[in-house]
Amino acid sequence: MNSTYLRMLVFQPTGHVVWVHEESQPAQCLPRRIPNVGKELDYVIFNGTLKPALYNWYNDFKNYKLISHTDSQTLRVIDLPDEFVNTVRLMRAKCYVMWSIINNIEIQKEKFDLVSNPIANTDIDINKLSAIFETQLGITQQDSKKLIQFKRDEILQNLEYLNLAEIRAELILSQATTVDEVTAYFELVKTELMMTQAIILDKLL
Amino acid sequence: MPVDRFNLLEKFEPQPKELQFVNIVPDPKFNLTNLTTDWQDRFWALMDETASNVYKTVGNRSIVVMYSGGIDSTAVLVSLMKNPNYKEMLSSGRFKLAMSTSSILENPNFFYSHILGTIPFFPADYITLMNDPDILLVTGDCGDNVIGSTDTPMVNDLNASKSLLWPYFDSIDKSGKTSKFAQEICKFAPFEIDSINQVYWWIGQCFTYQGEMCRPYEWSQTTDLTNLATQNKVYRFFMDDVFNTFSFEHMSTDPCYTNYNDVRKFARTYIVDYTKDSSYLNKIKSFSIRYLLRFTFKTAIYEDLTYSTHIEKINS
Repeated sequence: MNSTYLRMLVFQPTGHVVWVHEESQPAQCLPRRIPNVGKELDYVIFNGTLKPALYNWYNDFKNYKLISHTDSQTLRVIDLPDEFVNTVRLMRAKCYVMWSIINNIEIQKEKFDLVSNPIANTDIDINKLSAIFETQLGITQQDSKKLIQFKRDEILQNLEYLNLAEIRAELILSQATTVDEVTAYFELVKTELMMTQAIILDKLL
Repeated sequence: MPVDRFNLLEKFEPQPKELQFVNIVPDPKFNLTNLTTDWQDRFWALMDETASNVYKTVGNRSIVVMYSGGIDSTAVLVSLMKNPNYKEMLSSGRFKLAMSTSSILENPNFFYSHILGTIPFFPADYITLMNDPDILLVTGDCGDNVIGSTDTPMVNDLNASKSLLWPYFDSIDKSGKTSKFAQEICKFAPFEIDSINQVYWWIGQCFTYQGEMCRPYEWSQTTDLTNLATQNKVYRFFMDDVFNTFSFEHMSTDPCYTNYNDVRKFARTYIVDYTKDSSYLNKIKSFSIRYLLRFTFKTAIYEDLTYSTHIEKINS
């Protein structure tokens, strides 16, 4: 029996799962920001073997029936009370749009080689780094330092813009009050961040 | 909304006035009779002439060249470096490059030989540059529109008959509307459009030229659009009037390109004449500008035909 590893955000009053992400290789899972854009949401992990009744957990999740609580570490299926349907639906919209944005920004960071690029590490002695550039590129020490400074500035500038974009999106989404507002923002941010393979939000709500 | 340069959409159906399609590019002036064949010499002379125009425009400000490392921006940079005003501008700290790491990768020989030890450079950032009144930006935008687009689909023969394009369009748009639209648009060209290269050039002139003009404004979210249609804030080198004339006259001859590199042969030879690095003639395009981090801001158009950018919409 395979183990299942789910990262979830649950609606605290009822325990219903608002956002879920299944890791296929939990042991190799890289930590990534969770899209927690609602103060009523709690972060829960399920790491274990599913009961047969929950093999098809995704359908229960989609139908707003899957619940989990921090204390129990189990998954169950219970209908969402009518009074919370709109609230949870809105939160799900926010979480999945935020998740898309976080993923896209991570991809951009990877594309522009901003992830742990050692050149941007200011703990590295500039003279030692410069010596490598001088030797390998056959340039003077002055030019070498100029080039290193350029690369550091470029990385930090790009990181700053991407981080600011993420923070702006988070604040906009956290303040949205309707699903329509979230959907409208998603349409716009897809262009801003040049998302070409965005999720179809309607299918998740 | 600068989309339809020659107001051709009106010929198909009335366009909503609220969208305000306008032309912000001066009409090209050209003479299609008695054309000479010294196109390369003319192109080179126009590079030098336009560089002089840039120095006349800059005034007391600094020049910042948006250098992607591609052929267009390298040719622009070479023309500015050849100009007699260059040394004074450089020595006074008023000549700089905005670029990215991919600018180095695109043309390393040029970077290490002609830029690194000589010209100050920093990471490109349209938002800061566009909002600094002491800077004249110089770009190689619109180079595609001068002598044919490098984004033309990879066909074996750019000079092949345009009729080969229609089935290609139909394979993408099964409705046939794209193909029909392109065929109709070609009828409004100032000369007979024969080849695939000419089709893409003409459609570019009609519908993408103005979009490229607006890029620095779009990517920086600049709200001051006073100089959008002028060269006073952003000098789009290949949008200079002299290149407009050259473009229409040269493309009317349906220039023959024997391989993919030919499309930029005038600019390539111009660069090599300066650097003496003949290997550059066979340089492969690496789409360096696609690795320049930039954001796009979408304009939403509503049912009542009002519109706004998303920041204004979300914050309202």
